[in-house]
Amino acid sequence: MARLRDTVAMSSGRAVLLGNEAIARGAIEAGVAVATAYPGTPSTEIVESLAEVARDLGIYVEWSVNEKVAFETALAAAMCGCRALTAMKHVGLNVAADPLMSSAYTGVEEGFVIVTADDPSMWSSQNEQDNRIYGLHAYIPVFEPGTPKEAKELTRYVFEFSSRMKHPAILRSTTRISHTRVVIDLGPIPRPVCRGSFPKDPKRFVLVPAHARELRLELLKRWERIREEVEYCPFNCVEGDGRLLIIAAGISYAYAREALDMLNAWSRARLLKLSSVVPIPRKTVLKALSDAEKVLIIEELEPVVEMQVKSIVAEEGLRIEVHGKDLVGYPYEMTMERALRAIARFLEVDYSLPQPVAEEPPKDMVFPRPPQLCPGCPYRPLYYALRRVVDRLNAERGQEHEPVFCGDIGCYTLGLNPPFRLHDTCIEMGGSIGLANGFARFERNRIPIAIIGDSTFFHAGIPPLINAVYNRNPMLVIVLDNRITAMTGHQPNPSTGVTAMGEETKTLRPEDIARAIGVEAVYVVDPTNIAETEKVLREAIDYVEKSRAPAVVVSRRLCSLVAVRRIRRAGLEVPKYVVDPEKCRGCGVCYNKFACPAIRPRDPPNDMRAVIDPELCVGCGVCEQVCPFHAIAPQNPELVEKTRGFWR
Amino acid sequence: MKVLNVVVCGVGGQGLLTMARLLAEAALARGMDVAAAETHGMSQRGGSVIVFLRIGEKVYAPTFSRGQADLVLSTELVETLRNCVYMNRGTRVITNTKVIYPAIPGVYSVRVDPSKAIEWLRQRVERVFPIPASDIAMDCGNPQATNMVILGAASILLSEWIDAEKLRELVSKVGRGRVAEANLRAFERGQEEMRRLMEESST
Repeated sequence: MARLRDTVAMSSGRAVLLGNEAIARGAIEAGVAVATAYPGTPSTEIVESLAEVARDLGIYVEWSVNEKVAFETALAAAMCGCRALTAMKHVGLNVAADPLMSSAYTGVEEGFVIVTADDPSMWSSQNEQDNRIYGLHAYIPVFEPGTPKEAKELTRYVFEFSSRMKHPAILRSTTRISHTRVVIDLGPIPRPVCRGSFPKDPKRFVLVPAHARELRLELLKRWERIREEVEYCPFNCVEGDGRLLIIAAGISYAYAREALDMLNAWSRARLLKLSSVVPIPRKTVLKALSDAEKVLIIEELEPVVEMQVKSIVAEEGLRIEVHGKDLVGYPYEMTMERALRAIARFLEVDYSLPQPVAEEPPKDMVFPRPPQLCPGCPYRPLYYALRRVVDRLNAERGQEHEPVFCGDIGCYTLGLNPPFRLHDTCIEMGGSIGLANGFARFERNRIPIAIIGDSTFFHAGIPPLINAVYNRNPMLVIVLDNRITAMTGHQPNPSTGVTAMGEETKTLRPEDIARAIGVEAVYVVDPTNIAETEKVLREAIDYVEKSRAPAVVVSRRLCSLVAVRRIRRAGLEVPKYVVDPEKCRGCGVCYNKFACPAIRPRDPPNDMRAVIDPELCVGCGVCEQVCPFHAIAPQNPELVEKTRGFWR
Repeated sequence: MKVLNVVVCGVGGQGLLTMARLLAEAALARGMDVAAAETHGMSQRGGSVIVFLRIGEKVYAPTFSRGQADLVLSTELVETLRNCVYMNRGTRVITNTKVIYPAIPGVYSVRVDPSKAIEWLRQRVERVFPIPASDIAMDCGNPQATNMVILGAASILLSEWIDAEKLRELVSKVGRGRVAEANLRAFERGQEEMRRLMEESST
């Protein structure tokens, strides 16, 4: 199966690669020496695939603790003259926005490519911000592939561009570029320059006001050169020679092109494909506008190209009708339907497509299928215990005292759903403890309980916890430490003890950090011991309320997907649990309150006794504790003993 | 040359990305251009998964619109119904007959009768090929090989678009030892089942 690591020995030929792997391959063919990232969908596979081939190529790849550090590490490499790439999801660039802004002032010595993978339609994100705007804001050029296939070559070009301009450059991908598998033509791999020399120059690299004022003028001059240079970007091109001009940016090009085929409209339309979207190539656009009757700009999300085109039209005093968001709309990703509708209206033509067999799926037969915590997930027993503790507290003193559950970014956000309902907020990485600082002060009846994963804690959870200690803000912080960054596909982090390149390293413990920064009540539990977990949670909540100070509970247990993989790799089977139908009374605690996906009622509504699906059970064994009638037991107790050690 | 539009759908964890990836590789071996737009991240945790697969001489757009599917390959019956919006009357549908229920308290009260679901489809789509893929996979010795059964069935319909020998070879390389053998058996059983269904429908 062609994956990036299977192509490192190839300098020609073709392979089916994921868009993100194509970007990684483009970086390799450009001679990248350093790649850094914090994982985040849809960007993760860029640096993940580079990490797999780093040793073969002699390059350095790291999972950084957050996007700001990833950016800074790569920036320093580029300042030393080593080609560097940093990749992040769109919201990750917010975390790295501080060095991003200033990097345009210092510039770089060698190619520095910032890959932002945006997520129109929010397939796996909290918002759908358009990071092309960062380019306008920071004076950093932005390039976008018009098809997933183009991603590799464009990446190579953006490295060359950045190198030539001695200026950082943004490569913007979107979900449909990053996560589409396409045929890629492979090219030769040069030997990367892996060590360089930092040209000491305080006037350029020390941004005190006196230096920054000078650099601001140089930046504007450099921006003029960049504006000239994008005229020659070979990824911008014109197709067709009609007088109705369509300008398509990024992936919208792929849709616009097929739409024009489907509408059979090439005789009347001309398509200007733009890959240099910030700044747009002024002369190229002017030339295209010069004999056009009217123009439609088709792009996803914000009118970034449209605003620039309109500004050219205004500056040049052109009398031309400009359409864009009025026909295309703002939210969500581009689709064939959207492109067709907008282009057909612009060209004033009708079209017909085969009708779908139904406007929507039959409601009586199609139930919702939201994502859920996996069987064996260590978050489930913690959530189960926390819900029980909180329900008991609610019964004692009323629902209005139920804590505010400040959630965060990770698989554990699924605790939002019934039966746990343990997420009242989820805003951004580290936002759980951050918001808890405010709720601790301003919510009259409720204490905040912040729920955050290990990777997210290291990423952005430590400063707000210091704030809580310093400002004496009472809160319970639960760190769900599964020793891996799970949601994005199991990248190692400081809790794992391994680096991106597979080297052993120090394991950092959230409880050590909590104690070091002055938290006085710190507990560590194995969440699969439910009775103990409930006891500790109750004690910690009492502490927060009585002492009016922060407490931390670290809930440590390995991600079940990782544990199961290790067990199978060791040549062992996972134990399976079974329900004794004689003992089971069909109370439903295991499938309704504990909600393990592997357990379901036998034959509802007639027979509500539980049954465990052997296809799904991974043998975590917590249901054995949860069952009030002792009806659940392992099929093979020996196997339970043999595999116990793999879950730590 | 027209572009072939395929929906590959099912439940996260059933090996849908693998299925689409193997088909893409087999299409490349035939000299075709191909694009497979995947679902990653949050939705992979036991949620609905859809992959848009497009094969042709030249493919630009990664996805297609409602009513545009030429072929639907589904490893779970409720997901087949959920994606009916991509089907038109002429779409060919290969679907597993198994229903997988999510672990949401209360959803247990909703029961889906597979024969009713298939009947609903047949009233709207001319060519529906229901295959008990999960049972066949279990029978072949690997309950995780449901995707291979559907893949085998699909290979019969895709002879003009993919290199069938290459696909078989790729299937035999998924997993090792007993797992690989079971996968190949599942793939072949899917092919047999599909041939049988096609003969049935032509008589």
